[in-house]
Amino acid sequence: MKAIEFTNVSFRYEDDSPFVIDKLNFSVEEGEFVAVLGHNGSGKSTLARLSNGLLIPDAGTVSVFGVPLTDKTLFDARKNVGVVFQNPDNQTVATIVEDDVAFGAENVGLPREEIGKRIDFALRAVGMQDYRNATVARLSGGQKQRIAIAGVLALKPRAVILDESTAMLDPRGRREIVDVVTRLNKEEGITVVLITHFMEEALLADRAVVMNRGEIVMQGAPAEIFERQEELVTYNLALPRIGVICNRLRAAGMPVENTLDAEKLAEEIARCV
Amino acid sequence: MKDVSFGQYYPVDSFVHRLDPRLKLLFLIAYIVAIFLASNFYGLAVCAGALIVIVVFSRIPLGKVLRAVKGVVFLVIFTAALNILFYNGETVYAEWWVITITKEGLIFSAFLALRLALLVVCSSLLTYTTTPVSLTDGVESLLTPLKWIKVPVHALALVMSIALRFIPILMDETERIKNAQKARGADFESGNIFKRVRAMIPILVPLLLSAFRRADELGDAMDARCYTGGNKRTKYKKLRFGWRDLIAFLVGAALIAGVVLMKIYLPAPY
Repeated sequence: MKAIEFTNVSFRYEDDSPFVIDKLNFSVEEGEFVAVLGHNGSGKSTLARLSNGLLIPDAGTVSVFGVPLTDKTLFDARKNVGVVFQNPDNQTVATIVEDDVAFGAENVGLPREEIGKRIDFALRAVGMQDYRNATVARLSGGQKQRIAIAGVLALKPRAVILDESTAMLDPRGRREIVDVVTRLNKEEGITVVLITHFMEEALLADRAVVMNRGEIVMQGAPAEIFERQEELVTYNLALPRIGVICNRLRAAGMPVENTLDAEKLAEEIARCV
Repeated sequence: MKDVSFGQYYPVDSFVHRLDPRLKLLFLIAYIVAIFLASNFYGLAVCAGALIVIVVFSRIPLGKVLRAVKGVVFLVIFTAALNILFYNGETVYAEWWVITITKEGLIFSAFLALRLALLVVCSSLLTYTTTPVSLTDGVESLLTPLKWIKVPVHALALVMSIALRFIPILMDETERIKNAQKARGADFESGNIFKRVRAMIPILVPLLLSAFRRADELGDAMDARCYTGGNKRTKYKKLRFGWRDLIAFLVGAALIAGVVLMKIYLPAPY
């Protein structure tokens, strides 16, 4: 089943401005882990907002788990597709961790005992179970963002979209988030769409999608995408240096496996030599 | 981060923390009434004594409590000074032009300063010991009767708790913008009062813009988490009136009674 499906979707913010998303066809299979790459203004954030009805397309249809998005299906669609945003400070409603995680579950009118169970589940899923009564403001960026993910998980969504949720974090916080979503995808079977401009985060995905000016311009396994270095540059996406070295080694005839991790590249080189 | 005490929850587990927020809200109102009913130092002493007991039971460090007063020190000194200088009394200590310092003026000023300090400490104790969420729940529950006349009580309560949550974030942001403007050569410390107020504009404009942006993002995040207003919502934390609340209620009632009795039987003004 398709978790998210865009059919000929067009969208623009103002009636007289150019389309941010232009006749886009795009779908994500249930259980898939997709990374969406693109530089600023490529339309990747708009994609996230269209996926759960925060924005309504000007043309075309967006379907979520087989149900087309309309005013009537919006509420259920939002239960199924959770979105985590960029700035952790601007998506926390409450001061205390458990109150914030409970927010979504309270909104859909769950009974108290169930909300308690959901908080347990969500905090454990992001590895924050020891912080249940902590003050959100005192947590690190990575921890705050994990709480934001937990807040979305409390609704038991079948898919989670991370809209540049790692952009404001330090490298350690970024790794925490990528680890959490990878685990959610592998262990809980949750569909994950990771929108990012850090290419190394895309490496763990099943599929990488590159967006440019509202269109999908490249698509495939992350390793394949990273081999097309020159093409990436034309979309203002620069491969991290380790990736460039990888590509050069392969061009020179050393069969190293594609990686963006320095340690792993060292191992690969050791293996080939 | 600059230490912002106002409206900040202090997370420890104590008797006072566990009280029903509705009771704490009502107690605060009763306490304020008591402070203003008290017409002599005996009454205020009872109020102060009660507050000390609350502070002890709340396990809030004394420094934190005093920091709350620090914020209004200027106001206290200012009103006290005005009263000392201009209060009309009989026992004159010093006189110059329109200014007379009298015994009654001094006593009245001290009285007023004490009242203000008690007021501030008691209200900040409420926010120290109550999370914004339960405070909101308390306000919402107490204002329930207004729902009958179609007042959007839930929305008002939510606005209040979000405002409390964003105080430290916006304080932080103000500091950051101020530093950024200083780095660009802005001068906030010199000139007369008008110049200084004018100098605040380059801080306020970006701050306001950023607050709107934050509000917009928060709205999206709330929408994404299925927020549709208060109708279908359930509450994870239910308010319950327990034995602690009964004790606190009795203590509060005794306090008010004490102050009223003192007003009747010890009529000496000070």
